[in-house]
Amino acid sequence: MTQTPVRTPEEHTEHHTHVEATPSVLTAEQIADAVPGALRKLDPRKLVATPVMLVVEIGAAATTVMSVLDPSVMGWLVTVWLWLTVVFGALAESVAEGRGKAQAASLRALQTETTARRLHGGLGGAEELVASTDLRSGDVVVVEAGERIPSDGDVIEGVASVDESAVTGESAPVIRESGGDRCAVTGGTLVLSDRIVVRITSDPGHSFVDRMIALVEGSERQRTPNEIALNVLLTSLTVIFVVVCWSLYYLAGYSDAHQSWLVLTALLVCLIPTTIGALLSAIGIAGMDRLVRRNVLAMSGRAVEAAGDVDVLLLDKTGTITYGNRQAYEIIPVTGVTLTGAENAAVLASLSDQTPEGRSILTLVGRSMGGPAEATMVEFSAMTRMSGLDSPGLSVRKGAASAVAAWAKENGGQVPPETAVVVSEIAESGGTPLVVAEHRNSDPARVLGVVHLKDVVKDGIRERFDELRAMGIKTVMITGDNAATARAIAKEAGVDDVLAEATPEDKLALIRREQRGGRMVAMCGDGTNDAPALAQADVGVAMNTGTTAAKEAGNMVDLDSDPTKLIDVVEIGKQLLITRGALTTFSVANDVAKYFAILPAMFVGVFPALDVLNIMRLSSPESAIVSAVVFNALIIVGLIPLALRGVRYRPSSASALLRRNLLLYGVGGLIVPFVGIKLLDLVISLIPGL
Amino acid sequence: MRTRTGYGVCVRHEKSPRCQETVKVVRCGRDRRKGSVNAAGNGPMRVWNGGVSDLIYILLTLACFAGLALLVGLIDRRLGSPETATDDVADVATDVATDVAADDAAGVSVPHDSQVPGAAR
Amino acid sequence: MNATLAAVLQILALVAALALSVPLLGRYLAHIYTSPQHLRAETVAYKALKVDADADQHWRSYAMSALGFSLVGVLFLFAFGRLQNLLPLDGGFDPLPSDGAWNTAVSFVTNTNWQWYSGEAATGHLIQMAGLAVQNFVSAAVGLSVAAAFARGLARTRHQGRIGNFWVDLVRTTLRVLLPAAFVVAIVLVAAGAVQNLHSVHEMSTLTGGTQSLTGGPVASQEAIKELGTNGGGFYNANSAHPFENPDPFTNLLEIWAILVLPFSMAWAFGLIVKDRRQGGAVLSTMAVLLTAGITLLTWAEMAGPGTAPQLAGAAMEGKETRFGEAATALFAAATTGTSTGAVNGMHESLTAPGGGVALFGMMLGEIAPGGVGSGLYGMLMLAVVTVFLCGLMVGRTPEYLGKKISRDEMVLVAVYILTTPILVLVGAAIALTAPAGLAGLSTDGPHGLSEALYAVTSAANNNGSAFAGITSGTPFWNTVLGLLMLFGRFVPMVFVLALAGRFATANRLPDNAGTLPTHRPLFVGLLTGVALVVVGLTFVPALMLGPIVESLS
Repeated sequence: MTQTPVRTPEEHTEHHTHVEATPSVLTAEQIADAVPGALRKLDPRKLVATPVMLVVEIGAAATTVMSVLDPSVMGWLVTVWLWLTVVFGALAESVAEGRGKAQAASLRALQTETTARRLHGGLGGAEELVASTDLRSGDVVVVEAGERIPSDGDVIEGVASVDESAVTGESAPVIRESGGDRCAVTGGTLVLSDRIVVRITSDPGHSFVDRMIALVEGSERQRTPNEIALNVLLTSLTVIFVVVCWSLYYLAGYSDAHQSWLVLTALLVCLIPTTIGALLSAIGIAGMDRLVRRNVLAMSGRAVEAAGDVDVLLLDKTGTITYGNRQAYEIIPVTGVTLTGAENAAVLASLSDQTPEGRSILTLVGRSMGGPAEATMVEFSAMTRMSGLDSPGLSVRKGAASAVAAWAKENGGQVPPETAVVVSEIAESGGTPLVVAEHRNSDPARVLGVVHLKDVVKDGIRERFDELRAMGIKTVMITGDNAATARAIAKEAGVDDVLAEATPEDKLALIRREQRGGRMVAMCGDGTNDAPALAQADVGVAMNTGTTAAKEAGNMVDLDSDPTKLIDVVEIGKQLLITRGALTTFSVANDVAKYFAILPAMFVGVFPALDVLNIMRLSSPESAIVSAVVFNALIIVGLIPLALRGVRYRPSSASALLRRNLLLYGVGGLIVPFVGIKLLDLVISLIPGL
Repeated sequence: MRTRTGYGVCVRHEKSPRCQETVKVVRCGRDRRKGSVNAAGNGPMRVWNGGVSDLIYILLTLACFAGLALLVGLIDRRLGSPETATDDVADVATDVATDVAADDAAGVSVPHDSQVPGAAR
Repeated sequence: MNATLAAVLQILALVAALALSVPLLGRYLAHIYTSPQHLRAETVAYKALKVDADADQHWRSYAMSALGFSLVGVLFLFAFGRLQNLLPLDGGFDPLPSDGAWNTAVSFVTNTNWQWYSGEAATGHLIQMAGLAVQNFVSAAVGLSVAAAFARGLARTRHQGRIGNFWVDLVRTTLRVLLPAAFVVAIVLVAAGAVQNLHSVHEMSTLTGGTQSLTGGPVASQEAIKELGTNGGGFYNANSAHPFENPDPFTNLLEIWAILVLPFSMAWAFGLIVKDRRQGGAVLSTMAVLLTAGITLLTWAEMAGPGTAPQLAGAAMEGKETRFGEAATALFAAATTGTSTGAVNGMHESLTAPGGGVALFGMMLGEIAPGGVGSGLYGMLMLAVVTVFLCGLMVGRTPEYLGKKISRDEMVLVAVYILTTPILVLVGAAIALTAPAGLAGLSTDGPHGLSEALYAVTSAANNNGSAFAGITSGTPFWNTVLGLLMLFGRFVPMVFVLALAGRFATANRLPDNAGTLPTHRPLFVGLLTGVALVVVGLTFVPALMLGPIVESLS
């Protein structure tokens, strides 16, 4: 019997909310905080990682020199806005990083140096006081109530309640004890009661909290494979446009339409994919941040990306698909007993039953009643396998069929054959039958009905699996139940496959099998014996309540220890990739309008016929070029919120997603700059001297 | 090239679709041909009139193909096969470290199936 | 019959002929590129070449074989050109000059067939037959082999970079495809009036009292492979505008069919090789969409396009054969620039400005509509990978094409492939339009001069071979620059294609599911077309703006 409490309705609904835009208001304060960081990012050595922005910076430096040598209003306008383009790009990344800073600060507070009571020579050795920073992996320390645990480790002796709110945000203390799956403790958390002996498992600077800080700050962010591949594409586009603009100088020279390098630099910056180039790293950081906001820590961006590619989800039945315990589903009275009669008896028998199953009967019937006076509660025990009450003139019992049958016989009653039929039917369907019987005065005891307990599948989970199926993701339910029970629940929940009577080895084998077929597998787990499977899976989400081994093996840790999160993680991974693709498409589509703005402007002086192509009717060639440059810079700022929030994502098939995003970001990317550049031109044409 | 109007070509340019030189070449070719017939006795000498430039073009060809062969070698070394392609050394390092840690802690061996893509972290 | 109806009818006839032949030939190609059986004649050839025909080559060896074979081809043809007067059947011509011989050697080995000389006035029958025509066969075979290797790479899993055997592909393509096909087409051409003999020049008097020299030669045989292998090097300087090469509208249509049939069939064969016919269908459809757009625009431009003279005359007949008319010339021009053929049946220089622009754009697309034999397929597949990458992200998965993941290294190869030709074209254009020696070759200045130079470098770098004929390219400058463009434009991309094939052959094939981007639906065909147009458009619009676009609008 598991201890997971019944979830409240609020909690259920939470699970079907899709990855919605996390509220992301970009406050002025946030931006102001990000400015210093952004300026530091202008160092060309740092910009080498994003060649697109490096080219913009070089271009800006070049136009600065040109404007100094040959000052003009247009020259300076272009120069200023080219610099702003670089700054905006750096700002986007800085703002994204800033969002993790607050969380990092609270984690840092945990790292105050404490004194640890180290046992010299291991367990049983003499105590000595050392600084927590001097602890090494393998050291053994004692921690008592009121003290902070000096570093990550495993409890090897004792039991204690620990306040882990600083790490998980969950205020209720948790129990940590030696052995089993609840032995892991985190450095910086507070022991509230008792005394434990902890073997340290991390070296200074490499603890869980250290890693969390690095992750939420994004300081150790490594670019993910897909981000690198996209960067290759963007770089190649940049190279092409550099060659285009360079060769245009000579082609224009041949045509007697000589162009200044200033104008060509402006054209270059407008053409290279600055929008996505500037926002690329912000999108990655924001993706990690969205996970952090859901209390999931990804150990690398790579894992988040892999989550988007998952083909197979291994889901534990308990807690993910079902509520985690059996609940009363219906009460079937025997012939000759009213439903109310059977229900009343069931309720009476459950008054003393504090197990979730017992309480669920009260919930099902929906009414409570006081027990008769002088009643003696008979509590459930593993021995009797029954609960109930005894009062003068009335005894009721509810429990396992065989136990109640024995009790009825003892009291002169019989079990009717129909009850046996109902009981076996329920058992076959994967449920648990509880028989209710009463013994009134001196009448023979009689069976009143059967309570059907079953694993209740969570509300909405079926729809969720349907969505996953539409996304092309196969769900596999992992359970320790026997095959028949497992299949029944699987059918009800709508999962694609089950692994019944699963051992950790079975899980590992299943993952290997799927991977050999080229599929990516995600799973979650908490126990030490889950560790190999977590390590083998492409995305392994370890529960924070789990063991150190599990947390080390997985590539994500869920601080809430909620296995359903796995689905959210997949959606966030997909959202991350979609955001990248959408902004790339948008960025490239923008170029069409920019050509229409800039090219006629460049050559209309020599070839008046090209005025036909000035379809935006921009007021002057100079204004057209400046408008395009300004638009190019402003669109970066305009899209920062989208980059941080991620594009809206609803689970659906690839074709549907593609059609929608193409329409929104491809066609939108074609149209928006036409409107934007025209509007800017109206304003910019008013600048005197242009 | 006016002659070609006989075939039905509307002529403005006195050029062929491929090469303006035609006219010249036709004429020169004729002349040269005569010259070549006349100079038949010392033909081989005339063939090698461009000995230096021949060598240059042969060397140019060899250099280009050597460059291409180098390109093949370079790609093969850098991107030849997916197994050797590790784009993120640090990531791989943590990968191994985690697995080793998991092995130790769990006491279960986690052999890394190199055929299996993934285990992304 | 009015001209529009005639234009529509000949296109319908062409479509019908292609629809009948492409699936059959496609299946045949797929068979020869996957079958383990050798013919006896082939076994003899392998023995002679001392190759192990059953060895599966690593992409590296495959590439080295292709490069080595081509190197020998260039050197051989160069020597042939330089020594032609010492060999029999020289027609009494001098050796080609060094730069010219080199340009021609590179041109024919790279399947470009750019001709700075005029065939009837510079090359004897022997070099035409044993030098140029041989390369017409084998350069086409090299292209088809590389495309087949790429398709096999996509179809295979865990082959550790092994993509097939170059020598087997080469021999089979030549013996089983090109020779029989060229034989049949040549016979038909001869029957329809094309010349096939070993005569030397006939001098004859004309009615006006002048003399005219008629050169005979093995024309039909060379004409057949010139079109089938998307080579384009004419026996005569006038190319397919010459009545000995292309006597009447029927042979004209036959030649257009011959140009298009193998590239389209290869796309169909691709679907069969990767065991998903729909994928081949999608690639083929994209090629067809682009070609149809090209034909439509070109035909419109020539029949009703802008320009004072055409407006007055009712159509742009300048530089066109009266035997064919505008529509058939436009159709031929679209086919020859959509493929990497470069044969012409009229003067591209005299196309209307928008028409010339379309022909130019067709080449700039990278010869993918439907492209050169083989090279059209792999060019299109490279663009498909780019499309998949962009769109794959938008469906929330790491992009994959036919179950092959596109990560950094794949992207690097595709990116450098896509970069190569535009860089060659633009750098070539910039050099040609600034160097005095380059400018000296142009027949005019202003936008049309720019178009001439741009056309020449585009044609060379994309291995097309057609020209705006005003250009005088038989100078050491142009011969060398264009030769280099042809060489790099052919082999650098080919190396990247083979490397990618090797990677794909090694990679695992991921199963597809509802979350995978489908690459066989009309939506993908639309996207691929769009990506091709946008990528090329963005690269070349500034250059086109100063050439054909300005010309069209003026």
